[in-house]
Amino acid sequence: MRLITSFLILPAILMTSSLTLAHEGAEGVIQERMDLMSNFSKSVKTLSAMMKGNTAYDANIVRNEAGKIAASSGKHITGLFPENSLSVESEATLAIWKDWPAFERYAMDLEITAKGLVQAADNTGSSEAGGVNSLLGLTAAPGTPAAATMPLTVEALASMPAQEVFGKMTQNCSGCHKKFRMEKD
Amino acid sequence: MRSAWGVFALFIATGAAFLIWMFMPIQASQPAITLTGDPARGAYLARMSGCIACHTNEEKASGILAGGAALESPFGVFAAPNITLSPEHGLGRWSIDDFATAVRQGISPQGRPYYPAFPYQFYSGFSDQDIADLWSVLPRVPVVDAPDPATDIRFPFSIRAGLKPWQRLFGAPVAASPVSGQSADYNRGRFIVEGPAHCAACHTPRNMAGALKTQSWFAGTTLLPGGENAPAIDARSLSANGWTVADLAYALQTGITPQGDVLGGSMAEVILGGTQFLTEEDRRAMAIYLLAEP
Repeated sequence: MRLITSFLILPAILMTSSLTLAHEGAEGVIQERMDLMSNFSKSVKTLSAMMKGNTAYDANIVRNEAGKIAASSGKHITGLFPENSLSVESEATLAIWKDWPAFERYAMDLEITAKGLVQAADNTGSSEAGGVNSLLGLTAAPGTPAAATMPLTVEALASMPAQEVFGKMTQNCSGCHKKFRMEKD
Repeated sequence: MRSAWGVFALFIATGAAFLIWMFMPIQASQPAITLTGDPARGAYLARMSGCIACHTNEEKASGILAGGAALESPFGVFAAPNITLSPEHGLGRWSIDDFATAVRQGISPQGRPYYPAFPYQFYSGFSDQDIADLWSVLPRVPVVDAPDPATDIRFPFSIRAGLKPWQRLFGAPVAASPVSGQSADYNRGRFIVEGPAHCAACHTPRNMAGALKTQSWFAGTTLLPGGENAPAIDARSLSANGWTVADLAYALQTGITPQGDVLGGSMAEVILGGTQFLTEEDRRAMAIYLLAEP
């Protein structure tokens, strides 16, 4: 097993190190996007504490944090991923550039859902789900194929409960991480 | 001379015993199931068990339960087959008893053992009612008449004859039955975590033969298909990393960690395709069980 792993890992290391050499100037961009992601996580931490009920719900804070995410998503994200910009510290995978349109979609949907959350911040209350069809993904349950085919709009999101919009936003994070991030720990 | 014959006879006898052991049917016969299933309960259990997550290729949108995405492992490429009721390519010609044997014992209607990529070891505790509930879901799912997604299992693992001894040696059911003296939440969590949710399938390391290392339960592994890591989720590691019951239950719903990160990798698939559909109480029970020191 160990032998198999080293066979798998060695080319990966060689590949990433040669990529780093090939993109000497990329360190700035990589650092920048790592900072961007950690800023997102700070906002999500604040928001999730509220959604969980650990801290009191405050629509102003929701607007503020969601606004920060919206302002640095979309083209801000894609602009920080020039082709094949990888390094040892980076958790990004080559799949990003193999399937750029999908990556771009996630970046844009983050902007849309974050903007939607800004507008939905006053909509307290929760959504209900259930029934065989929604359990089976035959209706648009979040994160299912039926939901994926429905285009998101800020207007549609604005009328949904904030709780649900937050869920859509973080599911977008999750979908992107699933496809394009190496899980290092 | 006599001793030479003795050795020869012993050799033949051992060989014969080995062949019987290797080729004798391994399925235990079970009484026929006549119960009526509840599709709502079945769909819930299918979410909990990862049936839908694994047998559906979300990206290709080829249809619910019509076959999953490729899973690259050190043994080759696996993909969960089409389990819609297609007569040609799915379970259209199966009986409920075929289904029960497949799910609980990992054996096809033709008597062929399944690869442990299908985590039947964790489903062996399903009751007849559970099986009937799951079975009643399939008529609700649109039939997709498409062949199974391609697999590419590496030699020598491609020899299915090797699977019977594997099942005998390593295919024992994973214990998920209640522990007396523990709370109802703990035991519900234990049933979900060790049974249908099959957390150990990824979070417990495997030996060279792909069998779970029972001594290192939930110790995590760096050898997941696709080169992913699965972190340790034993109670000590979780507590050391600052997880609480509320955090864990919330992460199973949303993928959001206490640090504000959102989990990716195959855990995202587990959450999006599975645990987000569970009730708050069930996610909490899972967290209570996981965080309870053994």
